[in-house]
Amino acid sequence: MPTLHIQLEGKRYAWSAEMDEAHVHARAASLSASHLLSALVFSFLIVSLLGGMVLAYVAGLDHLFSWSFWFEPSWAAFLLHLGLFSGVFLYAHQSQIGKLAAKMPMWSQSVPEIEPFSEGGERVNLADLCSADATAAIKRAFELARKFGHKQVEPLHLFVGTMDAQDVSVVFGRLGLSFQDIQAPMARRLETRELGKPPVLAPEGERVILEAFRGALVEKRSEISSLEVFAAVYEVDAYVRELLLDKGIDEGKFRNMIVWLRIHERMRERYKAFRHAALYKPTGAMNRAMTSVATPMLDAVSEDLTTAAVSGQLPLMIDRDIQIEEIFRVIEGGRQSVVLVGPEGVGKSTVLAGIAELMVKEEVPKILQDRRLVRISIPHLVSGADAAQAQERLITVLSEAARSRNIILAFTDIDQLVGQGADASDLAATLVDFLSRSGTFAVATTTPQVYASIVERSVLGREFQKVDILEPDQESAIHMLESKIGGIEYEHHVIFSYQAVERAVKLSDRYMHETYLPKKAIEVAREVALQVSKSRGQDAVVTGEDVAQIVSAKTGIPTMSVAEDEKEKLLGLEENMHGRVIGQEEAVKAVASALRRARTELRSQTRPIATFLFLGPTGVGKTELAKTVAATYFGSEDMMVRLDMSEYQDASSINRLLGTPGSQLGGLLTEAVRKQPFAIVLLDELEKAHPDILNVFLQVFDDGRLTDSTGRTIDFTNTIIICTSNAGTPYIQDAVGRAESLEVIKTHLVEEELRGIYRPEFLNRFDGIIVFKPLAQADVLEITKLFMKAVALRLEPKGIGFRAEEAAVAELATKGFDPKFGARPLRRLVQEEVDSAIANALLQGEVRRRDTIVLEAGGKIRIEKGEML
Amino acid sequence: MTKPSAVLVLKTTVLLGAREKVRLPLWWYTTGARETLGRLWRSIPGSVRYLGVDIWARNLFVPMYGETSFLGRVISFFVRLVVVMFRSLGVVAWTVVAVGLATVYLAILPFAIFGILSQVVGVLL
Repeated sequence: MPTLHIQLEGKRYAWSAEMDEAHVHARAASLSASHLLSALVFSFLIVSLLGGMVLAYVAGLDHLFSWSFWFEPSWAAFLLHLGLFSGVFLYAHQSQIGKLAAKMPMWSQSVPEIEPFSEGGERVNLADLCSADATAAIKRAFELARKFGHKQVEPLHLFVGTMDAQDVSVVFGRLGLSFQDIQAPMARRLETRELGKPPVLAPEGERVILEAFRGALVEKRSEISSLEVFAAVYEVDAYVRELLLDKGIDEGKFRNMIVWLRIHERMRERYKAFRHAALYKPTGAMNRAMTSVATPMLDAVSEDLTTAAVSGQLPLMIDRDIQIEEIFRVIEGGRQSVVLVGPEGVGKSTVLAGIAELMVKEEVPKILQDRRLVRISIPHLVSGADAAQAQERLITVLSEAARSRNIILAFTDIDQLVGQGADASDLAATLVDFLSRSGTFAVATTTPQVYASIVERSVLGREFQKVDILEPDQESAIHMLESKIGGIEYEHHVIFSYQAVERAVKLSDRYMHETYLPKKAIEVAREVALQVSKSRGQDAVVTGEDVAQIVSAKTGIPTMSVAEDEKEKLLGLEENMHGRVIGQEEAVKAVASALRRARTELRSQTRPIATFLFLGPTGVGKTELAKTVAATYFGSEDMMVRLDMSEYQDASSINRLLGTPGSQLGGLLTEAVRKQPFAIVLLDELEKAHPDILNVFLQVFDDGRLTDSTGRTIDFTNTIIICTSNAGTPYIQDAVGRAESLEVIKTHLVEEELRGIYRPEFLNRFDGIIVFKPLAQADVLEITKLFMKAVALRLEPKGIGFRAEEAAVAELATKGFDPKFGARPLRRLVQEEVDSAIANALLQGEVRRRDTIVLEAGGKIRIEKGEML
Repeated sequence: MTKPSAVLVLKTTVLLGAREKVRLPLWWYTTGARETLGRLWRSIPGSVRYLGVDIWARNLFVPMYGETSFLGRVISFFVRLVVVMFRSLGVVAWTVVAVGLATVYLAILPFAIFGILSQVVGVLL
């Protein structure tokens, strides 16, 4: 007796199949018997017909159409009659098998909820609505319960049961999961189930099948398939959800994967339906009734989208129902033309294709029925023609369309019409005049910038109603890409995992800001497919890491997951940095932690990776630390956008930073970051910049983006912004001299010293304000050693060794130490005393390859001769 | 997965065969007739659509190729008339075939049974 049901149109849908061993065997036997019977009868049919015909031929074929041949006793007629009867029997038998015992209801309203079972009304057994693979899956679930001696068949049993079904194995394959991955936890769970026999379907199991039924209703399926059961198990059972989550498959991924299979199913059905429609739809310029006028000019400059849709050449439109509804509302309500406004690559042409497809299916407002959607190519129209000729051509085309009376015009990039044409009026005016007089209308496309700058202000703006086609969200973009993957897989002979599809959308959305979804994700997917098929051969699986590699190659941003050797590098950042920056423990630690947070994706995605203000006297290592970060995190010291803020002292210099309004060039900062989005932005001597310029950076620190003078949004979320400032230096030097702690120094700096220079809200936005201490004598000694190492490195390519004696290093450090200027005087000293002496020695020819130059106290150099060859 | 035994399958085959044979006349003239004759019936308007007779008839007075002059209209009317007639012949031909097939469907079962019975009496007894 069922415990749950769904009530629909007076019928009660519930699961009430007997699943004990005897019943299951009987059903299986009946299925086999049916096949066996078909085979037997077919064989009998062939034998009797052949036998009958041979005998009839022997007796002479001239009697074949006489009554006497058929009804007077003869073996030939007997066999032929038997053959006929076998044929009749086989026809009846085949017509009856493979049909569901019940009919799936058609339901377009919201699907009713599951209720506790009650008697009354007609009852439909859901087992009769299950497809063969769903039935097999449920049977496997019962067998599993029987094998373990379980009392009830629960969602988990059904989950295991569905795993062998073809659709479900595709889900597992694409998600990169195998049975082995989840076998152990599932076995542990199964061992804890209550024992008893024979197993019956638990109420939760019933709920799964009812949910599957609801799913099939929503999707307008003709049966409940194993995929529906699988998806329903996920909906109903929290354990299965947790199990998959443990393997990295969250709800979003799971749903998108199911959607992927349904999209494929839809495409298959669409292909079948369109094959059929192609029988009736003419593909030439002439309609079936031959009433349309020959439109040679129109044909020459246009493409018939409805014909293309009939032959299935247009892309499938996905998740654009709202926009389509809006377009139809505008057309039907106001009888007005529509312009689809959206950035390049968001799918405006696909929306046009979608309208064409709906026109083929005639699922459009009456005003659009029985018409053709014809896309006019403006470049074709105007090519090789002067303004007057182009106008003449357009008039011819429009009058042809008007006479044909069954044409809806489509224009991609309608702005191309504006400003072309003879002196007095342009092509746009001609089109608008035609549309307002002829009673026909057009669907056009353009981009938001062009719409604002050209279309809206021209006559087109009056005639065309705007419908925004926005960039799809990631979820929809994943569905759109899923609909394209089949074609890409076919073209390149590779197989995409779900992770690859998801990352193509997510990474391109996050790192590629110049183009829009879904186009950029589709392009990435194509490139990855090509790359994988070339490197790993046919039938290779495209993984998320492959996608990440391509995105990295395109953007220069490491998007791959952190590899083993990189982990060690990240953990040893401080040590690495101290190899170049002496002292400044606090600064190095703060920067290293920020980098680790960024690389493990723990940072905010809408702000720069990190923003630091380095405060301290000159020559203590502020810029050196920034360079070290560029080298260790971004791979090279060159990955740095460096601006000297002393060049931006007046308010008007903001134009140099962001670009002059009206120019198409962009600014120094914005262009640099646009070309190198993954880099350090080093703003030197920030205190010298005009306060208005600092306000610009408020937005960058907060939102991670900046709009340049051309209206482009520049992404700063993959940059580390380091500002250096000498403000408050006298105080820092005094305070360090008084041996105050860094914490106290920092507080005093922020509260007192910097108050007049930076506004509190500006200081507040830094991830870290780091005070660099003036260098101590010991630090300078270490720095001197670093400089000596640098000298040795410079000499290495010449095959010459270099060594500095301890006393020489100490002497240099003492001479070069200046508490006011940090390590800068030391650098000059090394240049003057060491580099110059070496240069002299080199010029005099005293040093040869394999020799070693030794720096001694007093600035003298000695040469140790190397071995002769 | 355990499979049903061969004996069970054979037994079921015999029972199924017998049951279907007994039910055959009933199915043939109820569900079977509804499905098969319905398919044939629907194929007739299908042939009209396939041959475009309806579209041609609807546009009988509409000039072809947009020739709206008087002569154009006259020529167009007669051309359309001829075309509609030829296309209608196609529909008629298919209708005849469909009716023939329906007749065969209705007659074939008693024909075969009667034939077998008369042959059993004549040949075997």
